[in-house]
Amino acid sequence: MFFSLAGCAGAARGAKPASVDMPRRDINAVLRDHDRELMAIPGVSGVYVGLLDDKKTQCLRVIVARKTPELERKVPRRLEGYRVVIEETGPIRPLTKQN
Amino acid sequence: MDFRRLAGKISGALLPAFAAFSLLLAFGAAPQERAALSTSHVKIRQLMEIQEAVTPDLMANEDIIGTAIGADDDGQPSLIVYVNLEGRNPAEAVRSTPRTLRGANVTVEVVEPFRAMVGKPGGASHTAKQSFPIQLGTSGGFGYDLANGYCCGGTLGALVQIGGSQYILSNYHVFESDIVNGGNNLVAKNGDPIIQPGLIDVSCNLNNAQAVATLAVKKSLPDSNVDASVAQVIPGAVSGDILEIGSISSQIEPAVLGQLVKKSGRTTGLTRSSVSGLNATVSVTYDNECAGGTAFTKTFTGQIIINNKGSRFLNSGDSGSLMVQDADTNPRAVGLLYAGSSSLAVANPIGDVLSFLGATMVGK
Repeated sequence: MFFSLAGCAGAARGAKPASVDMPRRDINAVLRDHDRELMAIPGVSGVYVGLLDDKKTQCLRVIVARKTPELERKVPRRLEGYRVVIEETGPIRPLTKQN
Repeated sequence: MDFRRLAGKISGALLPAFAAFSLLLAFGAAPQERAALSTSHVKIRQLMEIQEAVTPDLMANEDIIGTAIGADDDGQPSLIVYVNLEGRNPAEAVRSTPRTLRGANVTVEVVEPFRAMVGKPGGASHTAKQSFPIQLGTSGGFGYDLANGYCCGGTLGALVQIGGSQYILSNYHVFESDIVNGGNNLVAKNGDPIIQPGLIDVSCNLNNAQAVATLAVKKSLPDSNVDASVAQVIPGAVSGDILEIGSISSQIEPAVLGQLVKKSGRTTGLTRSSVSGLNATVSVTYDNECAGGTAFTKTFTGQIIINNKGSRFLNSGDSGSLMVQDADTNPRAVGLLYAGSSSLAVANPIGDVLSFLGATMVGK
């Protein structure tokens, strides 16, 4: 399987569902092990460790210039228990100015 | 359509009208979205009623400067609460704001204070030609950065020390990315002039600028993990101060999530924001000269991500700016800014930059 999807809904029914969803590894290690796979998805220009909107919960944020249905299908919702959020940023460019 | 960032900003008195306006703006493009999420949508109406009821209590905290209707990371309607980045204690305001109010999801956004858009009062010019010794955080660049009918430039960021000499720190793509003969029949080389202001601010005429340093080619890209370059200071030409920041510390500071930072740059001047991401892997494509063709796409790792909504923190021409902690006195350097979009900015960790260059910050 392309991505480890431990923690996805439906992975375990019944016994200890909460523990299945709990991140087990440091998020930086999870990023390190998955960034190449995420960057290989066409349209992905970056991935980083950020926070959810609650400003407390760590998550993986995937940078895309433009969000498409295909990207939403290809980018996993979770990786090893961490939420993965697609962030539409527009193109990322070096910021010199040209006249 | 991502409507969460279009919700806007408003003081309490105008909230209902603003909410309706922002929703029309946000959902105006696609008919199906209008039908799903207009102000007539029952969820949005309920959210607006909650917003109207809770906003006065929220704004009793002086660091909360507005509310609006938007969406959370799942795309679900949410009450947006704006916290003043420059307030008395924004971190406490973020912490103390409930994540749900009367059943509504609450999303907290830390923003610069809202101002009428009449320009920046009283700020120093970051594009004017200065008297020696110049302060940094100013327009500058490669003296021959003129090709293909255009000229280019960025920001002279800070002073660093290598061995016994002082150098201006900026980006590879500001100082030395002219790597093909191409449109100007030259490539950047050791000893070439680094000027203030940059060509973009002197009508592309080198004679209207002044040399302040000489290029010391480092070729940080494409092989290293930093977009950095330096130029040896011409004696007497450069002060260690940065416009609107002043002197900085010789010590550096690692970035942390939520950290408040500032920078002084050619285009947006002195601006503040917060670190929103760490350990980023980011791909950036570079040209082979000013307005040239593609040279390479570089994938950086371990980068710092900074909030840059509406390019208010960093914009074109600010490349090369030093990002420092938001402290009043001798702030420590955190990163070297080099890329971004209209919603985020990207910086090399300053420790990586200094390691690559074998340099230390010049400061107190």
